[in-house]
Amino acid sequence: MSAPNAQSGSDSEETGTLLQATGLSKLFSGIYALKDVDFDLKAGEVHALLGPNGAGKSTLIKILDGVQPQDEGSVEVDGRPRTSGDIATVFQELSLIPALTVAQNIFLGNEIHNALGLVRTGEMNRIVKVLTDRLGLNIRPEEPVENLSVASRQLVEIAKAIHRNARVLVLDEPTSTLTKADQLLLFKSIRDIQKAGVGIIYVTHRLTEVFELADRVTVIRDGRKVLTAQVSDMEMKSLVSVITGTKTDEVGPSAQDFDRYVPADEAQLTDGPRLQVSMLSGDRFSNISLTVAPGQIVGIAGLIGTGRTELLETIAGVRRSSAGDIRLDGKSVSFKSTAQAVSAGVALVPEDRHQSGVILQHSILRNLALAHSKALRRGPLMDDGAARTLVRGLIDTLQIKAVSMGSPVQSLSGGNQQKVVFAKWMQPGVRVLLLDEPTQGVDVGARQEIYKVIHRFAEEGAAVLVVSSDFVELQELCDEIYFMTSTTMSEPEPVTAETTDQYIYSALNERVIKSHERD
Amino acid sequence: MNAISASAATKPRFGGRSGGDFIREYFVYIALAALIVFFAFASPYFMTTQNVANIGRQTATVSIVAVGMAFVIINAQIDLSVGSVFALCGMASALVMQYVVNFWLLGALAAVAVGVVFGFLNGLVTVKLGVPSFLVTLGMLGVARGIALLITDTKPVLISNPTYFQIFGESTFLGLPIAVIWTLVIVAIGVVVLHKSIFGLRVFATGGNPQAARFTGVNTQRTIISSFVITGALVGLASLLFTGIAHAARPDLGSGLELDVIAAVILGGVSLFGGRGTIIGVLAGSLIIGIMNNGLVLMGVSSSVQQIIKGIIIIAAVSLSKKR
Ligand SMILES: Nc1ncnc2c1ncn2[C@@H]1O[C@H](COP(=O)(O)OP(=O)(O)OP(=O)(O)O)[C@@H](O)[C@H]1O
Ligand SMILES: [Mg+2]
Repeated sequence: MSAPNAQSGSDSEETGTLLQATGLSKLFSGIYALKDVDFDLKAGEVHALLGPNGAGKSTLIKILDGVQPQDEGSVEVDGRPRTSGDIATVFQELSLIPALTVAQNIFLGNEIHNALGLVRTGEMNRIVKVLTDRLGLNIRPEEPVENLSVASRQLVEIAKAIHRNARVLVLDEPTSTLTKADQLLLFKSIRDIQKAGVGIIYVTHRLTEVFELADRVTVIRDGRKVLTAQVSDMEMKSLVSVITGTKTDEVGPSAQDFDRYVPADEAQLTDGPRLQVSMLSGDRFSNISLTVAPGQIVGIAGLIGTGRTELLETIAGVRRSSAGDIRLDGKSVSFKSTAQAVSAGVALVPEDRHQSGVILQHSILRNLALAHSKALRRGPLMDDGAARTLVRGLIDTLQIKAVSMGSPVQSLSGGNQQKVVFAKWMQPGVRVLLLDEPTQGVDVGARQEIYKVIHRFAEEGAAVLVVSSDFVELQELCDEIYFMTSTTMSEPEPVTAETTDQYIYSALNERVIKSHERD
Repeated sequence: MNAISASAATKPRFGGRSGGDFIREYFVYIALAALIVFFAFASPYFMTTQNVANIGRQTATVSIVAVGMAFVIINAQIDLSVGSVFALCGMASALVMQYVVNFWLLGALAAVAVGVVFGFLNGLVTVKLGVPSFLVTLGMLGVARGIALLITDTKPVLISNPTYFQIFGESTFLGLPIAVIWTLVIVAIGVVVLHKSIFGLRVFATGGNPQAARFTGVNTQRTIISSFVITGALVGLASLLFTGIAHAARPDLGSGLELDVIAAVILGGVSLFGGRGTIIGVLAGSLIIGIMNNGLVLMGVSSSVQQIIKGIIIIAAVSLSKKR
C-alpha cells in the first residue's frame, strides 16, 4: 500500500486501515438519517454494523458505496477518495434483473464479448460455474433469476459481489432469508476472502452471527454511532442492550393492546385440528402432510428450494395443488383465490415483501387500511377515523419507525417495511396464520414484540404455521417442528430445551441425506 | 421512538397523493389558471357568461368520461374504445326512441346499457385472456365504430322527445346548464367512490402492485372489470348529454374523444403506470382540455392545428408524470 501523505499514511500502515469514513451526515426531508458518523475498516477484517430498524445502517452503506450522496463528510479508501471499483456491495433490497440469467446478472455491465461485440454467453456461463462451485452453491448459471427463490437470489447477489474482486465487500443483511447450511457456506467464503486481505462490512440482526464471524462491531442508533468495539470484548447481553438502548433487565412496550384486534371466536373452537394437510402435492413439493391444532404454533425446517414457500402459498390459495387435501376445521377446502382464503380466515405473511407484501409507493395507512378493510368498512365506505386509530395502534405496538402514517412504505427501512407486512394480518377472524420468514430484517427488540403477537394469536385459537430459515426463531417460537425435504415431511417433533438451532440443523441434514439415498 | 405525532400536520388521505407528488398535483391547477388568464386576454369574448356556459356544456362529455377513465388508468389499464362506444351509445338511445318507444328513460337506459356491455367485454377479455387492455380496447374501438356505422348504413338518427332534451340538454338548474349539473354530480360520486370507499382503495392497490393486492385478498380481476364497466356507463351518460343538445345521433360521433379524455386524466395527475391520482385533479385536467378546445376556436386556430397542440400536450404531461 502506498502512503500518499505523511499523516494518514503512517496511520494506515500501522493499523492497515483500508476504508475511512469521517463525519458522514445524511438528511431525508429535514430529518437526520445519519449524523456525524465516523467509520473505519481494516484490511482483512470483518466489521459488523449493527443497530435497530431505521438506525441508518443501510443509509451508511449506500453512502460508502456511492449510490447515495452524503450531505456532509468524506469516504476514503487507502487514503484516497473512493472510486467506483473499490467497493462491492450487496444491498438489502435485492437488485437483480429477473428476466436475465444468473450469469448475465453477474456479468451485467462488463459482459465478455468477442471482436464483433457479440456477447460470449458460453464463456460467461463457464466462469460463473467455476465461481458457484468455489462458493459451494447449487445454482445453474443459465437459470433465469425470476425462477429462483428469494434466498437463492440473495446467494446470486453475493456471488456477483464476490466476482467483482473489490478491496471492500459490503453485505447488508445477507442472511435474512438464508438457512443455516447456506449461512455456513457464506461464512466459509467470507473467511477465504478475508485471508486475501479484503475488508468486509457485515450488517445483520442475527446477533449470534456477530460472535461467529466478526472481529469488530459498530452500533448505530437513531443515525448516531454509539459504540465501536472488539467483538472479543463484548458479550451477547451487553450487545443487545447497546442496540436496543435499554438496560438489560428492562422490558419493551408490551403487546397487551393487541387483544383489541383478536376477539376470541370460541364458537369456532373445535377439538380436532384447525389445519390439516394430507398428501398434498404442488409446485416443487409432493406428498406433504401436517396438522396444526387450534392454539398451536408449528414450524417447518427445510432447505432452500424444497418448496416451503410454495406449500404455504398453496394453502393460502395463491397456487393450485395437484393432489391431496387441505382441511380447515375438518372441512375440505380448495381456494380458487387468495380472496377466498382471506375471507375464510387464512392469512399469509409472504416471504417476498416487495413483490407480494406491500405496495411500496402507497402510504403505511393505505397499505394497512386495505388489509384491515373488513373491520374498517361502514357499508361500502371506509371509516377514515377508525383507520387512523387502528393504524396508530399497530405502529405503536410494532414500533414502526416512520415520519407519519402517510409516509410511503418505500421510505421506510427494510425492517420497518417488514413490520408493515406483518401488521396487515394483525386482525380479527384469522383462523390460520401462515408465516413465511416473518421477522426477516426485524431487529431484536421488535422481534420479541412480533413473537408476543404470534403467541397471542395462538392463545385466541388460531393455528400458526411458521417457515423460517432462522432455526433460533423456530426454537423460540414453536411448539412442534416438521422437517421438510422436497419429497418428504417428517413426523412432528416437540420443541424442548434440547431442540437447539444446532440440533435442528443436523437433524435436517440427516433427513436430506436419507432422502437422497432413497432416490 | 416513532414520530407518529407528526401525522396530524400532514393529514394523509386514502386517495390521491402519497408523498412526493405535490408538484404534480399543483401543476394542473397552475396550468388551468394560466390558461384562463391567457385566453381572457387573447379573446374579449372568452370571459362572457354565455361562453363560460358554453365551456361548461362542451366540457361535460370529457369530464364525465374522464372520471371513469381515471378508475381504469389508476388500475394500470387503459380504454381506447370510449370514442366509438360513445357513438354507439348515442345511436342506441336514438334508435330505441325512434323505433321502440319514444320514452326518454328507455332511450337513456339503452345508451347506458350499451356502454356497460362494452365496458364489461373490455374488462372481461383483458383479465380472462390476459390480453393487454391497450390491445383489447384498440380492437373494440374498431368493433364499436363498425357497428355504429353498420346499423343505419352510416345515416344519422333523429330524436324528437322534448323531455329528453330537457333532462339531458337544454334546461338549466340554479342558473347552470344541466350538463354542468350532471358533471358535478358525477364528479361528486367519483370522489366518494375513489377516495372514500373500499372499492376505491382496491383500485389504488390493484394499480399500485397487483400481486401484493392479490396477496391481501383483493379480487383484482373484479376490480379491473368494474372499472371498465364504470367507464362504459359514464360513456353512455355522456352520449345522452350530447344527443340531448344535437337532437340526433350520428355514427361518426366521438372520434378522437379518447385522446381528449386520456389527456385530461394524465394532465390531472393520474399516473399512467397506475396506483395514484385524484378525481379533482382529473376535473381540472378536463377543464384544461375543454378551455383549450374553446379558446383555440375563439382564436381561430384550425382544427388540425388544435390536434397537434393536444398531442404535444399529452406527450408533455406523460413525461412530467414520469418524473419522481
Ligand atoms: N428514501 C428515503 N426517503 C425518506 N426517508 C428515508 C429514505 N431512506 C431511508 N429513510 C429513513 O432513514 C432512516 C434510516 O434508514 P435505513 O434504511 O438506513 O435503516 P437501517 O438501519 O438499514 O434499518 P433496517 O435494519 O430496518 O434495515 C429511516 O428512518 C428511514 O425511514
Ligand atoms: Mg437496512
